[in-house]
Amino acid sequence: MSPEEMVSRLEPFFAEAAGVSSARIEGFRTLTGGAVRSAFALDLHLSGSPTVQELVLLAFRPGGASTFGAPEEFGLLGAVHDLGAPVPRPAYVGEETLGRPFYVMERMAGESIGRRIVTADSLASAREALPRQLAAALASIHRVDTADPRLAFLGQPEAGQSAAEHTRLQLDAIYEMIRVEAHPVFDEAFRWLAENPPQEGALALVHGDFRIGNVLVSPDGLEAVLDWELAHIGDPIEDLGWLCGRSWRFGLDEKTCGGVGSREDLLAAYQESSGRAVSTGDLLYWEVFGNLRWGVFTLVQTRPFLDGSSRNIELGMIGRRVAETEWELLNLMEGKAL
Amino acid sequence: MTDRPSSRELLSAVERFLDEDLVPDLKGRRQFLARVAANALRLVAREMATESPSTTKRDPELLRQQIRQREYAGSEERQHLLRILREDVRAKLLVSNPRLLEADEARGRASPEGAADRA
Repeated sequence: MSPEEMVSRLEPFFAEAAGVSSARIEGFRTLTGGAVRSAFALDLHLSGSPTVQELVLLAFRPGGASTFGAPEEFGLLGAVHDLGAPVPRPAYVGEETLGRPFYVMERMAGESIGRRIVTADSLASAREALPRQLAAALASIHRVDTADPRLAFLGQPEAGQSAAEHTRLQLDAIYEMIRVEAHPVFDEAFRWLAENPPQEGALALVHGDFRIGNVLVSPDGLEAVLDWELAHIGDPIEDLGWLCGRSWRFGLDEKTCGGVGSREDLLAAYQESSGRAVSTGDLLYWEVFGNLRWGVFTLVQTRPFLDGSSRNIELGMIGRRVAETEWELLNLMEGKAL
Repeated sequence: MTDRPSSRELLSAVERFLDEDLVPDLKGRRQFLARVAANALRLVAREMATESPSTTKRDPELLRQQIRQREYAGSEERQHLLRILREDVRAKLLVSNPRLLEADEARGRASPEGAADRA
């Protein structure tokens, strides 16, 4: 569907949803065209209102490989926003208008490119504040009531299963399904996880992809947490381990928390915000899990190149990055990581 | 024997064509992909220059099965396993990302033969 066609369909949709006589869209443009979801920016003028709403529209490809769809993510974002966590305010949700499901949220300003966040001079003061702000954002996400009906669609551990066991078995099944060659370091890491389970705590809403690169950062610091498509119910410390993954430090390897702070900074700030003291052993468990998960995801991403369905060199080269996650897993399991 | 230029010389010429002629003229996604393509050629060149290319010394499938069957369970066997896994991953990194390897080994850790002691 052309951008013009989208605008002409969306204007009456917004007018009806807002209960006004007419709506006008300006500045409609494509932000990203992903395989599963596409993002568009637009400025919405509602008749009778002097203000302009700056919005982002996320359209979902029906039947895509996404774990959940537009109305589900819209509800989830609402539940998180209600608790005061830094997320875009969800504004509108639609099913039919564009021929594919979509939702619309507040457009927030900030840098999202990981490499720039960890190195740009203009963001130096933001980096000072980030470990504490990231920890506070996580603590508020983890406070969302898991019984909220808007979260009912999320995957969660089965009865009698710990969150750690559930996520490990799930990832192991993906590894078995997707691998073309064996990666014995991954098998050793799965064994290590099984033998070193973390302390079991209360289940919480887990963002699932909480890292530098999926947040918006301004010179003031953290503005918004984006990219909710891997959210699930699980062990909240999973988010802390993922945030410390080596691939999300963007070259600043010594700064073990997202290239902006240390693990110790993160744990201290998380305790301050959440009241929960997390042991370094539990963080290590989830950091091993996170690096293994990223390693398995690289196998998933390179698979279309290997089976010939994609000629994209980028996907091919991702296959050669698996060794980096294997290396980091060995470092972590042997106590030699930074 | 083949005639000159050698495969290395041709690879290097294509790499420079991508880096110096195409990348500056391209924009956005195509520029990014041209850079990735040049990186891919550098990887191939490193692999050709390596005596035992990024193939590992051991059969990964066999190792995988042994780990799954809980061999290497004792502490000494575990040490041995981690050492051979590290050797194999190191061989792959020499081709795929030698800079990461150099940085880690310069920090004096994470090398197979205890480079930690030298730091």
